[in-house]
Amino acid sequence: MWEERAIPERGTLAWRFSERTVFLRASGSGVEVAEDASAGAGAGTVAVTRASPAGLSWRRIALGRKPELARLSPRVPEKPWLVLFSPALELAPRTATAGWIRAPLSADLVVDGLPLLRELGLCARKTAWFGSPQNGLLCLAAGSAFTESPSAAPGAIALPLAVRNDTAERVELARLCVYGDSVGAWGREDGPLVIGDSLECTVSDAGTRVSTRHGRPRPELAGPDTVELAAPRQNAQDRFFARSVELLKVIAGM
Amino acid sequence: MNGTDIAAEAAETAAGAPAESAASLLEALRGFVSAEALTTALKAAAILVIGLALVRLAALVTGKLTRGRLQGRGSDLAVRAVRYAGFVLVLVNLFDVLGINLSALLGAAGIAGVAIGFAAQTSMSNLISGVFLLSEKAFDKGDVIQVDATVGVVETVDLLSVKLRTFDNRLIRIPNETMVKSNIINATRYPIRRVDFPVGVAYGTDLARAREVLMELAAASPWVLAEPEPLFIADGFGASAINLLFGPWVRKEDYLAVKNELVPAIAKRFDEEGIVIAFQTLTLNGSVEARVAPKPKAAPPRAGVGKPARRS
Repeated sequence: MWEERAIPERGTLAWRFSERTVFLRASGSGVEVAEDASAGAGAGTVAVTRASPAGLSWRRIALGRKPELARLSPRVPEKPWLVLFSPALELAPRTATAGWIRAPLSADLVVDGLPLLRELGLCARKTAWFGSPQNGLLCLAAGSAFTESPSAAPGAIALPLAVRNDTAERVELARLCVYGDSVGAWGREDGPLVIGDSLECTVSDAGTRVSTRHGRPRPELAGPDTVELAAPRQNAQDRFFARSVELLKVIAGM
Repeated sequence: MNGTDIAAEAAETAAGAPAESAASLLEALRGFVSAEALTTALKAAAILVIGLALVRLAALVTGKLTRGRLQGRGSDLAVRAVRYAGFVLVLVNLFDVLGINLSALLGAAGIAGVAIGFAAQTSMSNLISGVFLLSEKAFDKGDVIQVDATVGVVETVDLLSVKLRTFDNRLIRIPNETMVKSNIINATRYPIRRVDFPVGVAYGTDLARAREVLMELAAASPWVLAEPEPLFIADGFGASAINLLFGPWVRKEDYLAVKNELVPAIAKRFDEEGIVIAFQTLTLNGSVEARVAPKPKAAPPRAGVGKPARRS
């Protein structure tokens, strides 16, 4: 799904995901790209089609030469995810649980090693607001159930999540804001399943803290030929430092 | 005295006059550029040069400190205030050094101030209101605000007035005094806002289904935020409808887009679902008694003459 593909001289290359299809075709000394929001059959496959659907809005990108190879490179979205648990996750006092959540994934379109388009949405996108109506953060909504096994649909990323309740009270987790900056994406080049780095959420009296553990997922979860499809944009230390500076600025009123 | 003596005396006098005037001039000049006067002049020059340099420096520092922290033209205002105060201080010191009595000048200035104050009452009121407006930070340049019945984008916040650009591209100047006295609605202060759609549905409508439909429309819209959840209120029983209030949340910049998308979408979907959007109806109960008036016996009009009878 993520490997390089030869751009056909006639016909259209189509990457099919659960809720989106990305079309690409050669056009003289450039390429034409279109996205189809309707869910098509054959999700999780790449194929060359003779006739692309009518009514698509094509974008032409000039390269100055005949394009040869194209690939979609998975990308963790720039915007944070707001995971909306459905149903809400309930945790008894001083207990922990582990499972999987699902979040939207993006991809960069790379033609002959040249990144042409950034952050193509691979599934239907919905934004959500995390915070108060006066002040907060715009996130990508990730309506997700808390499941026992990774169930990422093509176009989504499955994230292993461990939740711990350190308080003496019962906790109901309905939404969780996850910064994707420090999350890497793993999977097989030829498979649609994309797994993210492990997330650890701790609910304590001081508040809720989410941390990321970067590392190769266990082979039984992601398959034997798992590679890092997208490296985290920021490591945990950098993220901590950046957040500390932001906090300091807020406190100092700078 | 003979004629020869007189001529000699006149010649002597004529020769001595320039020397005398030159001496007196030198004397006057010596008095003017005395050591004391020279010191005073130097002091005045020093006050002028150093004072003006300090004023410039103070204005520069004020500008640097206030830029980005004070809203709109607050920074310019602060710089100007520091500059004018500095000028006044330099001037007072200069007068003091030159030995000019300030009390008379201040007295005159006081009288002039009262006169100017009366004349510039409105301007001063606007000026002070402008300071209050800037300190309140109720809006900033680029915000969409409503002042009484006027809605527009804030173009400038000046000392005397606020200038709004209306959506039909007119410039409206509102005096600061009016702004202070009026209720100001800032539509773009916060990053997100709720778009309210009051919908009246006919009596007998399945309200649970109506709610489901509205929530589905919100979920399908790319503009509507998934969180916070859209508001749904069954507002009450109206004269002809059950009033519902549907309020999805959007980013402030998507306000018009979501209105243009959801109003037709609600109308279409309600129509498909058989949910009737109610309109004002008047039900009249009672009986109608018809009375047929007897036809008047009138001569038939001649062809081409007269008008057809008007029916009422």
